[in-house]
Amino acid sequence: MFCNIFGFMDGTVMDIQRPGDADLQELYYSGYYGGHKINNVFVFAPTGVIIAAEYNCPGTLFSPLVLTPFFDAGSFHDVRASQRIYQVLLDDAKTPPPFKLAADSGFQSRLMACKIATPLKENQFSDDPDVQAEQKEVQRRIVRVRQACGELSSSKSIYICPSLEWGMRALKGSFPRLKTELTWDKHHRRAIIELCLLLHNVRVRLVGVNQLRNYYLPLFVQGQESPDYDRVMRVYGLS
Amino acid sequence: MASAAQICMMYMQDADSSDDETYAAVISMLLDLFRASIRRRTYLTLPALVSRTDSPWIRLLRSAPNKSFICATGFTRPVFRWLAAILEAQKPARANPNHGGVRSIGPKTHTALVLHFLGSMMQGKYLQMLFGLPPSTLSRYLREGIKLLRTGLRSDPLARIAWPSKVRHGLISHLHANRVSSGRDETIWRSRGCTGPDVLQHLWLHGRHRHGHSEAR
Repeated sequence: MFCNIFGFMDGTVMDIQRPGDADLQELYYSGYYGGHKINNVFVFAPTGVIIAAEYNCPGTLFSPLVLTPFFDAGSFHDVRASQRIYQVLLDDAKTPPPFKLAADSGFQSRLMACKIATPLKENQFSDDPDVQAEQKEVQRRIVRVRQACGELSSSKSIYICPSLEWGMRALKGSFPRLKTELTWDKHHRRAIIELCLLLHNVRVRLVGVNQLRNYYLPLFVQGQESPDYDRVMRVYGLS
Repeated sequence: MASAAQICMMYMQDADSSDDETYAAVISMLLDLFRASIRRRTYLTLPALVSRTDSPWIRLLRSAPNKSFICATGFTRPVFRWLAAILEAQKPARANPNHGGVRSIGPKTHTALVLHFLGSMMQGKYLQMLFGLPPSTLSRYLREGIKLLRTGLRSDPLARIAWPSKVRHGLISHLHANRVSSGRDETIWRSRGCTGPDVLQHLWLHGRHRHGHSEAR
């Protein structure tokens, strides 16, 4: 089940300046966070590269992105900001069926269950001990996917996801401007965020300062000495 | 400020010049207004800034070790030069070369300005002190630099945000499955004969030259 995860998806919220227009203020004000915010969802590959991003979405509950065919996909703001990513995931031509993303429990959805692996919430475990044991084993594995290594620290719903946090840390750590209050001008703000994403990819690919990449890259290097190298190349049609 | 000063001057002209108390009150009011105007002046002016040719950034560019350079900009020197070339290539040529003055900063300083802005949380006045640029010039170059660099990087395979192709899906998941099953013990890779990573490395690290065209947009 977890052999087909090809990326990690997570959302993040960024502060913005209060817009001057009252309608825009209403659009960007998030009652959940108590401020003017934008929602962003990023998908990281195991190499640390960003392979999909939905950013600069209004922080309000009833954002225009809610009006999509997948409105019932979830209940969290991140999900609303990721509707276009969902469309790519549901397209079998772009995402063949066995492959899926790993995400946190905010992305739980029956519609997307075949495309997004998420951990269960505390109240979603079965009362049947046998079923619960099986669910917890699945839970342990999925947390390990997201945790990349290490063990589950608690049987409760305190699930950390370093793979996701590594990706987000790499982005916001390299570009702290994203942690400040961004401009109210949506076009300029979009340009700033997009440039950060593009520079992040350049940084991962050319500089190599990235925890996700450093974690997975040794495995890339190890395989070069393998006698099966040519065989794998033939299997994948690369030779 | 101007209107208040004019009112004071008119009052002084109308009042009797021999009235020392009135004169002192007006002078006091003017001094208060002057002090308040200094407090409202929240930007740096050119005399307060260092020379652009000897700014801290120029010193860093010329003589800093590579580690310090990465720490300041987030990129190595070759990658930085590559970014500066991209930015320079995106600049529109002037219709009339004789029109307009000399540019305040070159492409390297322009790129560094954008990278310092994105890679820090510092306020504008510290960027002004770092690069020796007055506020209006800095703001103009910053906005232009973000726009140009974004446009240039959008079309570059090394920066592109692209959904992986089918082949990459399989290879990435293959890598990930084995990574999870092996945990920290990387020697398991060899014992199980897993050979996906080499292909992955080939694809991800060199995809720009051989397989960049096959990426799904």
